Amino acid sequence: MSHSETHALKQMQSDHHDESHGSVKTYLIGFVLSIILTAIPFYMVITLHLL
Amino acid sequence: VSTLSANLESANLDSVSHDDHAHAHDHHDTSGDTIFGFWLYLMTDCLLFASFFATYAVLFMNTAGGVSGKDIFELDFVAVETAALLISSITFGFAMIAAQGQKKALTLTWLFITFCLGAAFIGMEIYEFHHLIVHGNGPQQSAFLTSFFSLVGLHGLHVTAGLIWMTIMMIEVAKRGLGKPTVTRLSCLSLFWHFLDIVWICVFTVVYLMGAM
Repeated sequence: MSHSETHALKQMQSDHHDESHGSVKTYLIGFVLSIILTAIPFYMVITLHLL
Repeated sequence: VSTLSANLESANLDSVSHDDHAHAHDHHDTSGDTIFGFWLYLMTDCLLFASFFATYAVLFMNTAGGVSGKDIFELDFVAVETAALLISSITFGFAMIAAQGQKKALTLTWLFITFCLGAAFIGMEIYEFHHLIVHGNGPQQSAFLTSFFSLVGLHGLHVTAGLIWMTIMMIEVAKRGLGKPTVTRLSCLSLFWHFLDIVWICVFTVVYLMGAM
């Protein structure tokens, strides 16, 4: 395999990885959503407690 | 006859070397199979958790005159546990991104942070269990406490297994770098870790939030 072929293959593989594993941005969006969606029920139950 | 067997042998060798050759080219496909297999394992694990959840749902009212969820659950404490696990999920995500970019030191750093968060979670859970048992609310007191300790303990054991696996992966990454098989193993551990995070979301909703209501 020539050097350029190896490079092209690596490029293809890394492109594929970006697709299937997400980026920092998508991870952060998921993280923020998970925090918000977790905080809402916690807040609801804790305020129910104080009433 | 000897010519025939020699021919067969050479044909065999041929097919073996051909398989090896094909194998080297199909390596990417193999890692996909591994990850698919791990998904299947996770689904069987999901069934195991489902049965523990069903048991808890049936038994949680049976407190045998002892404490109920309302008496023993401390939501602030559980909120911190939940935060530790949620944050550990995104730090593992960062470790995977670093691993895909072949950044060894960064991968190890994120894995170590994830490990610390997981260990903090387990530490808090052991403290909670110890606290309950010391105050006479051990798993033998009532059906509620048995099912509570079983469900939360099962999740805790999974997280502990994940921490042991993570230690092994950190050693592997440090020694061998980020080769393809290593990244595949990291992907499986990442699936396992995110899966346990989702199970914990169900545990704190069903056990702690609904129990404290």
